[in-house]
Amino acid sequence: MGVEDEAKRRFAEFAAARTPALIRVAYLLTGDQHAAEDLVQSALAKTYARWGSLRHEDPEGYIRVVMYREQVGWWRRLGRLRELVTAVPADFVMPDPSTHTDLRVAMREALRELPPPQRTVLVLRYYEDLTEGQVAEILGCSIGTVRSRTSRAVTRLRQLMPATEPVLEATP
Amino acid sequence: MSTPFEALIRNTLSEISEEASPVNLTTRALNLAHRRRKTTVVLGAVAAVAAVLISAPLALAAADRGTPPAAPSPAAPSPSPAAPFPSPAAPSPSRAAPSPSPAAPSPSPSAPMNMPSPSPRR
Repeated sequence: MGVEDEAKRRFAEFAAARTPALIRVAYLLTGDQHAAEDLVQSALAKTYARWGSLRHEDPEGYIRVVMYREQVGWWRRLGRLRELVTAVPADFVMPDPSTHTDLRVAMREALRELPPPQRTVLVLRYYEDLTEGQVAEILGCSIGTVRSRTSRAVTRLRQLMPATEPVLEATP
Repeated sequence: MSTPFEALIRNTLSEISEEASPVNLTTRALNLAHRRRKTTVVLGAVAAVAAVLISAPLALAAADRGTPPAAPSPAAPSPSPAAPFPSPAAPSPSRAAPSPSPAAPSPSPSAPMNMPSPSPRR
């Protein structure tokens, strides 16, 4: 009992310390607060189930892998239902060339249009600043797959925001 | 190294991530883990009981069917098929006995066939 209580206490410390960062990543992956909470909660529960063997290793790495793979798995199971529900067009896009707010709003909408595997790769590459090799390891795929997904995602974003690059080049 | 477009992706992602509300999920995660463990244990127990409930009658039925017929079936059917087999085998000698009899008549006609010939020879 004592060992289990100790494990629970250590897990609670870990979860309390890491949940805010994990929620942010999950929010980026899902685009929805409740879905992000569900994702992190599920990943934490899976991590706790293996806590006995993980606490001497890298629980942070494990939970991230669980989270990213679970997100892609959810997407595969549910199809694009969640994307269609959350992809509501914004009605508050206002031109604001000085701070590129309009571009960021458009980018936010464009990111929502991406399928989760592509969005996941973008989050890992551009938000977490991981290398292609690290991304491949987390997602359990090849570096070539990471490269092609990233390329397809960026190309898709450029297609969704055709007027962006001239604006960015004109007003850096 | 990154293009302005990639910088825009980075900035937008950072901005979006800040919108997430921090929530303490520790208790919920622990409860979920306990629930999942309990579900796994219960499902495992149910599966084991179901396996026993299904397999035990089948095994008993197989044993019931298997044992009595198994004793007679090697004994009884084997004589009955053995009877036809030995009966051809047994009749085969008995047919062998008649077979000489057809063979005997065949010599017997041949004998008469031959008989007349020697008889005329005589």
